[in-house]
Amino acid sequence: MKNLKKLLYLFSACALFISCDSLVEEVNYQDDPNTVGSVPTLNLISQAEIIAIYLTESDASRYAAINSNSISGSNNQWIGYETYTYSPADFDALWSNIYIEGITQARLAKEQAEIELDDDAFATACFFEAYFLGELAASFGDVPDSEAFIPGNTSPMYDAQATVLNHVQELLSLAISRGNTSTLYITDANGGTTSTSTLGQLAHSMKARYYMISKEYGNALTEAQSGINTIDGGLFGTHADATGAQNMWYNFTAISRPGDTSPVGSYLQELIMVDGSADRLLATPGEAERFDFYYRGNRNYNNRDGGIFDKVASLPIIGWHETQLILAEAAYRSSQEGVARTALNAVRTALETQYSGSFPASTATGNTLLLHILEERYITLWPSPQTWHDITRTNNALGVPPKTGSEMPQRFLYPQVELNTNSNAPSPIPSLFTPTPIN
Amino acid sequence: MRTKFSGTLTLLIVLVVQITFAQEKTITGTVSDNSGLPLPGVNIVIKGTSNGTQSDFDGNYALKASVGQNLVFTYVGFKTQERTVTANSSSISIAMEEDAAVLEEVVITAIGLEKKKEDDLSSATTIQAETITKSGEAGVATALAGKTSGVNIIKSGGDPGAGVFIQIRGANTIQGDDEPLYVIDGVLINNFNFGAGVAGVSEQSRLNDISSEDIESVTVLKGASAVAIYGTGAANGVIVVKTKSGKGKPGEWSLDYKSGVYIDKVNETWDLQDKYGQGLNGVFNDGGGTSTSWGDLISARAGGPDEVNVGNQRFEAQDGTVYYPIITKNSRESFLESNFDAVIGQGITFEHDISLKYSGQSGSTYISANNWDQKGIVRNGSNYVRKTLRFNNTTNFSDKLSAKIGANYIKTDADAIQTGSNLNGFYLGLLRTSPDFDNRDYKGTSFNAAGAPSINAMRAYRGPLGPTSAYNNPLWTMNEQSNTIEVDRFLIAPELSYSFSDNVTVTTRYSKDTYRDKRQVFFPYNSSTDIGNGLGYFEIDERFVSSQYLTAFINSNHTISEKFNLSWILGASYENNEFEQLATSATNFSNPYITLDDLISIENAAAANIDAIDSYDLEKQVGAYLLVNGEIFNQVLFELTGRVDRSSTLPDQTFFYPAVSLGWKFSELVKGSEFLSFGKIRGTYGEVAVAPQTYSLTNGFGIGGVNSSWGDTLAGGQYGSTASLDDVQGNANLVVERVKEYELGTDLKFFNNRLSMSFTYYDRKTEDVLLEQAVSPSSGFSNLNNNAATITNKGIEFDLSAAIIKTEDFKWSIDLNYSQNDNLVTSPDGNGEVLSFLNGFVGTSSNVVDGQPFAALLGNPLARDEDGNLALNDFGFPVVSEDGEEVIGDPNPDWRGGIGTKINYKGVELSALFDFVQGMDVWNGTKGVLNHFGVSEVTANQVTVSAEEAATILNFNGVAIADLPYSQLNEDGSYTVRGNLDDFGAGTVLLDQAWYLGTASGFNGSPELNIEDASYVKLREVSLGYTFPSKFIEGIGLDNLSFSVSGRNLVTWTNIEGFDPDNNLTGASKGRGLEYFTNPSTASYFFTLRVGL
Repeated sequence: MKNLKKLLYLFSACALFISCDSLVEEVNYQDDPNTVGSVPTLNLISQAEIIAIYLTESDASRYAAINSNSISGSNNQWIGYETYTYSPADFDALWSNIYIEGITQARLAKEQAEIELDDDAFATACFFEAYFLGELAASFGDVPDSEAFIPGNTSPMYDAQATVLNHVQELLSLAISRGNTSTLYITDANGGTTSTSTLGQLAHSMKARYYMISKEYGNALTEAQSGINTIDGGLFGTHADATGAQNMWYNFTAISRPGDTSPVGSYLQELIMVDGSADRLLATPGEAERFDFYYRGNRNYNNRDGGIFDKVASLPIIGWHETQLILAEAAYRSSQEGVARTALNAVRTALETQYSGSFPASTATGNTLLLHILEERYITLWPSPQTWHDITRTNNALGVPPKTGSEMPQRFLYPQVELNTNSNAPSPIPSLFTPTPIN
Repeated sequence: MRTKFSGTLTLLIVLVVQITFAQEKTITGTVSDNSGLPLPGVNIVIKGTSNGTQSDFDGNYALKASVGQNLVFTYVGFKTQERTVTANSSSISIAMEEDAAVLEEVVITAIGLEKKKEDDLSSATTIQAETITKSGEAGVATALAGKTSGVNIIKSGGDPGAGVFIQIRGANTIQGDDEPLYVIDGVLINNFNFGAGVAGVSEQSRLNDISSEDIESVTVLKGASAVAIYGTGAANGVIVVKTKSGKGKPGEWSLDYKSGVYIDKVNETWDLQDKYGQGLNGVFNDGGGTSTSWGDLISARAGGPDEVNVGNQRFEAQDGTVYYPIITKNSRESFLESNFDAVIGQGITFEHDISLKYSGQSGSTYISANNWDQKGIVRNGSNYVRKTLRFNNTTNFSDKLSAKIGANYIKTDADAIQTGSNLNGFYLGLLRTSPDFDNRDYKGTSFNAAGAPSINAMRAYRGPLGPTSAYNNPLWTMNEQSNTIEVDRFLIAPELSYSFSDNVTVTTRYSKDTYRDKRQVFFPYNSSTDIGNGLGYFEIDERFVSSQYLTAFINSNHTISEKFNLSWILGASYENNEFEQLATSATNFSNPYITLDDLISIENAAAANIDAIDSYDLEKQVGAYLLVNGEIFNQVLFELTGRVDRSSTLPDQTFFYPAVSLGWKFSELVKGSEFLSFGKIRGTYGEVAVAPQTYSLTNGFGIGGVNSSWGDTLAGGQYGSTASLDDVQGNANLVVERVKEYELGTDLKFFNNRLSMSFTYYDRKTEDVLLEQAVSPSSGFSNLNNNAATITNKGIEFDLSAAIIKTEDFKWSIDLNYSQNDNLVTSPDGNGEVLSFLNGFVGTSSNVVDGQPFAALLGNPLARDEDGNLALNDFGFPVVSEDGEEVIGDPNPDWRGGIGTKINYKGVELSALFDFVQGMDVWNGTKGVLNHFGVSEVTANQVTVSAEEAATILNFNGVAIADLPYSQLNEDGSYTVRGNLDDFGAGTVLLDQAWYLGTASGFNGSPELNIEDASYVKLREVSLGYTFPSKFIEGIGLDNLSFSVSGRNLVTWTNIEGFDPDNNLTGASKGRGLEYFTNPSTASYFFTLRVGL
């Protein structure tokens, strides 16, 4: 029995010993060795830049291209999209990437920039945040903004589309006021964007874009006039041949999903193909040359070297051509036809140089001039989602034929991930053909 | 003074008694078994006292007893015997008689001690080694299917070495391990599960590393009360494995040899069509990567060789055959069968096992070596070789001190085949191939229109002239690609035991279980493109896993009085699990000509195309436990357990969880009854606390980057310094998840133990379930670590075993088990929200949903009106709802059961096992996709309608049959068209390519159309064996000789077509009920020979 007592003491001692924290607390047992606790502002902005490239070249661009009849769905799920058979889950990746990877990083960068007293960083983060929110509002309508990324709030409420677009303008104004001449973050080697313009110019062009979307044409005109002013002055996403650095349209059409989509049969291709079934309103012989940049001989995407979807092709997040065409349309709608025509023809001249083909100037007036501008936007801005926003904004003034039925898709469906989790998400969700509030 | 006096008095009385009554003498004797071999360790007690002894290793014993007293001889697995000491007896030798009924009724408790089932208060069931080895499965995990109640075995496919998922009762945890804990000879082993996705190769189960031949028994501990001793890890039950010891002829070595040959074949195949060729709209087309077989009627072709365009563009196959672009397809040949036979044949496995046993005066030794060499049914690149060595030794240094050691080395080498949803997937490439395309010339040189060659080019139906194709040719997948998995594993478990006295023992056990899991993936240049861009991909992935477990406990027994005995165990344990992964991959090969035969190196790529990752997961847990059990009046049993734990994953909290069990052996009241041999009722309550996963409390930053859902990616590492906050938000307020379970049951035996049955009802509730709760992405996170659900599992379990006929020569027995489990997940919010994604696809997935059973299938339903009727489009067809996903299926079975039967006549044994799993759903994604591509048999039907009908019956796009370009006008004015007629409520419609590419498509259609009832009944095992009588073989120096011929998984009765409903695409993960081009499953015939000397 004595032994037993000793043993009990021994075990009690053991039990006390094991309850000591030291046994369970050790380096790499509590702190996740796979992550770090804080990062410099630079890294956060770089991630926001990557998301801006993604937003320009990937999911949003492709779904918009289906919706604007600029490409055709020809295989697997894309056969369904060709008939506008979308389901909410199709938009999960887009939504999640923008909020979780984009807006979160931009807002963290803003907080960090204020601590570091780095105006350039703050302004750049505002610029990208505005781009993300602007595209979300334009594509989905009402979206979470004021309650997005608020600690402890797992079901952010949805702000009205107009409110979000106002916030976009405020953010861009902040970008201009805090970093008008900044070029640091948008041109450095981190994050993948490059531009010869200042952040202020880019922000003015961006303001012009979202004023167009909210149909505030006067403001759009003013902003466009302060925007990007050189042909190559856009903000571009850069690419390299390495895996994970290629142009996303290249990767999608050549590597990941060849054959799922095709330009063949799309209205865009018919419009610019020499013997296509549709003709441009503004006769443009140079489309033959542009066709070779967009497409290959077999009418498929030109994702070969030098093509629009070259693996290293830079696509503009926002560019000079778009700024000029905003200027053109906004001027037209502000009854300044001369300014409008000049801006349109400046783009035509630039295209003539770019493609070494004939892009005759427009001499049109009235509604024809507007259609000339819209048509040029439809062709030149591809694959930017702005061509689809034009269709929803103008009630399809250009008359792009729907792929099926008589209606053009008006919005992206709210994603399944929101319907699953956010009690503030609209229910039932608006259909694909329900215009967003601004339209 | 008083004390001293009473002590002296006692002594005096004793002395007087001694002198007066004692005719006490020393009794000696030998205890043997029924074959005359000495039996060590038999308890010999003088009835009505606590005096007793045990027989030694030669079966000898000696003890003092008085005339008239009864000696009671007891030994687990043998019938208890009594002998009376008479005046003449100084020697009592006894032959113990094996008790067959009792023999099978030993359970191994969580701590690794043997216990009579009759005294066990849990619902534990034990499976003997014989029934495991008889299954013909490579591993013990797979072999448990159908053998006991409450155990759910889910396979991931028929690939050699493919893992399984074992679930006891029902899913009761969301995060972390959902499989039971594995305890081998009293120590934990690692069964770390890397999970499984919808693509890649089948994951293995590390439990299958243990050779079935080394196993003596497997006990399944299902209830929470039985497992509290092992702590957190045991929340999902415990599988306790006891390996063989050296038990055998004392003082002699014996040798056993087993040889097995297993022949595997595909057991389920898909019904595919060979009437229509590649193309669309009834027109042949093999260009432009055409994926579908909605082409022309093959029999209507001209016949003879195809008209081709002889020019630069061509494919020169390895055998010199040249393929040119087809202008007109004339050939009427179909390659459906030859394409299948080119890649799938017969699998063959050879198993050899040799074991040596020795038991002697001071201990026992068991040494074994096993070699399992399996070639899968895929003709190349699919194999699994496992070599195991085991050494078990028990040494008794003295009466007090003994030591044990178990050591196991396992080496597995496997080559696996890509499966599931990936462009390199084996079945994906094979089943989608158009019937008029011959896969056999899959490799060669491809020349483009300018005559430039690409060597090592692939030819497949979506790229008939190479150099690559959207989907791999399955011959390319099996011959040119490799996915090797090499595991070196070492387990060592020493144990030291010291008896301080007859009733107090201290035991210390340690185990170290460590392995390296090295994987290599090689996709040569021109492989299909979702990994490595078709420009080559090579990956080396090394994972290091190490688990340490240390426990020490005091074990003490007290006989307080004749009517009350008590024993207790007090112990402490320490557990440390470490996981490290280092992986590197190269894409875009610098030398594109590298093939499988060449030196493959990670350096065969530019620096920018070489990527590396590392990952770590470290976890510790300490705990202390106390277990007290006892028996009152020889009929009331009780047990109390308590455990305190601390975990490194929740460093500031100490958590306690108790268990209590009570049982009553009511049959003691009617002792000697002819009808009721044994009866016990039992009730338990137990809790288990589960600590969070590692690193759940906080979140940090990782490297940036972005992926679309289509494979295009921007890698953060390619864009300088990037960082992104974890998508999963940490939560410092987490508490432990707690499983609480009530269990009520009864164990009954009738007719002299001939019929025994157990019945258990359980009600298990997991509170504060830890999960990565899905949150709105607009919150900035995809998930939040949270205690946000309650899971209940309620069910019944029933096991029955009957020895129907039991004579010397003829025996017939039946075993039966039945289980039923109802599972329900609820959340505090309770608004039917999706709590967590488990596995699956965009569009169809297995999820945790509030108010639904675990793993519920979510997908886009068909659109319905307010009354729930199908909302049809203008042409009378259902359409996919745009309103989002709904629950469309429940993959949990309503009930499962097994019936086993065994007939022995002299040396002949015939046995069979039927396995029933009923009432669960599966999403048959393969079917939907095969329909989309027009390769399934149902799509090749032809219907003929009158001219009038042809003008009115519309297809999905609203085109009348008469107006379809692919309908054919017959001479009598009727029309024949490919498709099926149906009526969804708005009149007859034509289901043709438009429908199968639309609402019925496996891609963009409604998954609701592909939800099927996956209920099945299987003839899981059947076996015929013969054991030679010893008189025949003694002459040739053998101890035993037997052989058997058996079948595994030979027949399945089910409504499922094409695949084995037993399989699950995401097998070794929590996702359930998904089928998508899972590699084919198998049935086997096997032959076994056993020799003993």
